[in-house]
Amino acid sequence: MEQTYEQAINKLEQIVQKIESGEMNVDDLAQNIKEAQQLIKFCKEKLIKVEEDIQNVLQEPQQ
Amino acid sequence: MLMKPLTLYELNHLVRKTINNGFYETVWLQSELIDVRQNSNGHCYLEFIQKSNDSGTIIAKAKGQVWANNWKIIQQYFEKETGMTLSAGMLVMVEVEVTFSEIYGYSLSVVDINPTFTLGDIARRRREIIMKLKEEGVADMNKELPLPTLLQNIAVISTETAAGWGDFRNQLSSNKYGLKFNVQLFPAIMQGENVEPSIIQALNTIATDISKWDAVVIIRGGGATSDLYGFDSLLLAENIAQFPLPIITGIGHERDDTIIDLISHTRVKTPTAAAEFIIHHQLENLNDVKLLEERLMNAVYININKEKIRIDRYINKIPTLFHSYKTKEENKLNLLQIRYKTGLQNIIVNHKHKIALLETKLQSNDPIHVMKLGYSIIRHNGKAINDVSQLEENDIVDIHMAKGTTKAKVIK
Repeated sequence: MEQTYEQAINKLEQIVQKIESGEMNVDDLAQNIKEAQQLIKFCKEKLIKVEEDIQNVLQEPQQ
Repeated sequence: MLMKPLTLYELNHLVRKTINNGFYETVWLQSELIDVRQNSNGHCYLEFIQKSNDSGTIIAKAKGQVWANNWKIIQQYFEKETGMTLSAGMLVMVEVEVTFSEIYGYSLSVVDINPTFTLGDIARRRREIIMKLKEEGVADMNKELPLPTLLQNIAVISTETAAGWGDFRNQLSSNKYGLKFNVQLFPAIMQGENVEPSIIQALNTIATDISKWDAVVIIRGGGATSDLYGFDSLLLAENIAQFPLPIITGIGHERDDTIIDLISHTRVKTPTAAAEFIIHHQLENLNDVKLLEERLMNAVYININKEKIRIDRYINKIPTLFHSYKTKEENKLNLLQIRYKTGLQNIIVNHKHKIALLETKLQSNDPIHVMKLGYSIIRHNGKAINDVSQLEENDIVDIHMAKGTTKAKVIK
């Protein structure tokens, strides 16, 4: 199942909290950094896509 | 002295002579007809009766006939004057020859008729029926029924073979307005003595499924003048007056109305006129529907426009709303990114710090530092000596200093 924006941002929040708490060991960091970057990319793209969709949908009835 | 017996012929001949002597002139007779039957040879055979005024039982009866040559004239005259054919149940005034035949016996041979008398009797009967209906309080009942808004389901009482039924059907189905009707025939006898029971039976059949119908139409045959006598019936009139659906009659008689025309909801002259009446009624309602349709279209148009304006407002609002939402989310993401970087930096710094501390600790324990202060390490056979008892007299030891190594001999 494709993840939702809400799931992605919550996961990102968890990772950041874990990093901030200092609980994260160095070996796990590499894996988490990759995931965190993917999540940030996903969230930003999702926002842009939704904005584009909204523009398209709203323009349709006026065509 | 015993008379010689007569033969039957002799007796009948005697009776005939006596009657002929007694009735050498014609007689005007006033009587009710109980049977009228035209033969194939053109003669018309009749039966006259008289009922007692009080009990209604038959107190006199006679057969009669109109010979073919007379019948033609009498029939035409009677129809011209009354608009009706001579039929059973009528009260007539006829000029008769009283005859007796040795074979056929007593009979009345009709030579003339007085139609005015029959007309008068019919009028009297009608007046009586109407008075009775008024007394009963039912005379206007059918007229007072409201005509349904839609006259679409029509129960027709007529004869299947009647031209009028065909005219009615054609007129309805070929209307130029495209109106649709549901028409069903309830066959009934429309002339003669059986009109009354036959129409009542048809009405009863319609009444068993009354909700299916909007109105009843009673129509009968084409142009030929024929027998309307049966329509002047009290029982039939009572049934029609009290029928729960409006009844439209198109009995088709140019001269005068029958009783059921007088008490039906609506009376038209012909079956075609009955169809036109229904079409006209529907048309009025169709116009009402068209007006409503226009109003509906206008109302819908106005509402659609209103909604369009509302939607346009939303269309303009949504991007702005989403933009602020997006900015909020982007800020959230940026903040997370900053926290994430800071977190990562903190971890790296912490680890670096730990390593530096360890390094310092290690460095502070390195013997080089101590030796620089003037301390030396003594090793014997490569092993560091920290107890004098480990050495013997004359042992050669290595002395390691901060800078360089030398050898020495142990003296005890």
